[in-house]
Amino acid sequence: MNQKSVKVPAVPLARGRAVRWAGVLRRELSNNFRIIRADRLGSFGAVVIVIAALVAVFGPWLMPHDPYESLRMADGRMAVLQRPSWEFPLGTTNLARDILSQMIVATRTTMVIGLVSGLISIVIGANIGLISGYYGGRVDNLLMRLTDIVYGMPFLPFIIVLISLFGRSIGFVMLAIVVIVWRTSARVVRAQTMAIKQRQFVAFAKARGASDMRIIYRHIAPNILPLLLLYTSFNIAWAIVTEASASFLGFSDPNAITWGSILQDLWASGYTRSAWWWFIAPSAAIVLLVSAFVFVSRAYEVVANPRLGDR
Amino acid sequence: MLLEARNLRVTYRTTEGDVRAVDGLDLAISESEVFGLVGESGCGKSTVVKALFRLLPPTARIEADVLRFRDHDLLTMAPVRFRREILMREIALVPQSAQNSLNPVQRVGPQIIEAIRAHSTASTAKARERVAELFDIVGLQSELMERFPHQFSGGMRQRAMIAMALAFEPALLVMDEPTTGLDVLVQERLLGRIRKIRQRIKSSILLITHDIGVIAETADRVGVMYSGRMVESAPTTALFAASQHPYTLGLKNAFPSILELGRELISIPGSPPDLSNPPKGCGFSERCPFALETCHAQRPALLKVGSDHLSACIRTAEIEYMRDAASKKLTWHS
Repeated sequence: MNQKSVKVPAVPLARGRAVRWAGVLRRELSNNFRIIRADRLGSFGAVVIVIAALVAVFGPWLMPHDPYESLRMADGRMAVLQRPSWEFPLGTTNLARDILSQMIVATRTTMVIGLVSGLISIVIGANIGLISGYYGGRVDNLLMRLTDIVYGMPFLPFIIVLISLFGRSIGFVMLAIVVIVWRTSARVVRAQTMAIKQRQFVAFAKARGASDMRIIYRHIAPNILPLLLLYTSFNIAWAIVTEASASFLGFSDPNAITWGSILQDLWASGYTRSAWWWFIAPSAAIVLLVSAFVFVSRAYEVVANPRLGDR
Repeated sequence: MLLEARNLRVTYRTTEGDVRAVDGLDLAISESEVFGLVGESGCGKSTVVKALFRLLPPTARIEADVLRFRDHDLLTMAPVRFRREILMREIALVPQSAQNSLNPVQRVGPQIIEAIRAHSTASTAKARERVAELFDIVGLQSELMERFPHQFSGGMRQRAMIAMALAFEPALLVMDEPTTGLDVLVQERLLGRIRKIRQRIKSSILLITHDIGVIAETADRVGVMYSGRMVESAPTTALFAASQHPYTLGLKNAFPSILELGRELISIPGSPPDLSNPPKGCGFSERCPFALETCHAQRPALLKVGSDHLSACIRTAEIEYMRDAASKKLTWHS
């Protein structure tokens, strides 16, 4: 290294906050893009998620028919249980409703429920894990016993109690998902926090007078970011599956169309054996989107756990 | 007096009983003085640092008759006040293994900027200017601010840590084993750098090391620690010219000296006492070739043996004989 103390060149000007954040955002996006690109299934998952997001946003302009309307064919007969055709690409239901339009409407509900409850649960889980792992002792004991209790809570009985007390609504489904899903992320984040806490730079941050909050959120949290991203997509996937099963069992809002509720309509109509087009679309969509999130999280997992990269 | 500790004791509670890592340490550092604290591994040097910066685990207990920094009583000061007003601003640490002490996912410059802003009302721009200044003091180019810690070499990281510690020109800079883990050339440059910093900044430095050579080169005053206690303390020249304690004599024997080329190095036989079951008398009595019956039974006090020279040995009167005998290998290894 250069030993002479060079005359300091003009101090680089501090860029404005907005410009700097734009830079950070661009860097983060390109980093994440690189991680996902490196994994073939991850890229596939990302494409599926982007398509689902576009459908969710632009759904109302993409729908060929009103999903709630009973449709007629050109000859005037009700379009009951029609096989897929140009007019009805995914067929119709026993009430002559267009399944493609229903699928498109349902995409928005599913994405909103998945993203919102997935994100809320990672925020709760990460904070509980960070605080529990950082403080240890009595705080840790209290929060981890709480987690244990939630681990003992089965989802279905919990949501049955919830809807029988408050009535059926998407809000309660989301609440039930959040209450159940945060537990895994809390445990994993806690374990990782305890490992990072032992590192020299945390002790040094303390020695220069950093507060607990600063150490937790500025020094430890950024170091577990790949793990957080991994569990975010994992939680979203779990939320989508759970929401689908809740609506299939009829615990969701009866007026909202979701992929699970389309399946429930099929089940209730009794045409499960004959109307194959009616269950293929929603089932395939659920499997595809959940796998997409799992593939993306798997791409991150290689970063969080580099040893997996050798596979 | 800048920092004064009298009868400092640090006890770790363990399942096998209490371990006294620091057992009645007396320490006094004056303004703008480089105080070197030497001692072999396990004598409690690092525990002193941890006690000072409150980095001890909850299982440890600190007691002292006096632990004072200027007018502040560090024993009773509230944690929040200690964190905000004393750390960084008044006393700062360059930690042991400074190599791993930077957050690996944040750029070096912003890390220091953040530390400055957390302890002052400086704007980011002002703080950035200050960091550039600090980098200049420690001999790093200001472009390096935008690098990540893993892009720094060991010596550069060490200097970045020193830059961070100097941010507020603290009255006391504590350097815990600053040269450990660096190769001799980098070590030498770092010591030169410390001397240069001394010309620009009037902070006192507490230099903790097991390398007596580093102390000889850098410190104004030396304290020799053994089994959690100070055994000898004097101005550097006096300590090397006229050592008073048998342990210091032994320590000097074990290091090569450029003034006595070809001298055989003599190690001190044995190992430091088990601190969970410390000896009743002088901590060094079991390894000391001059130990008497009383040495094993009674702990000697740290007494004045010359002007500004303290030593904790009951046979101080016979120092001429001890110095003579200590230079012979047979005295130690018989």
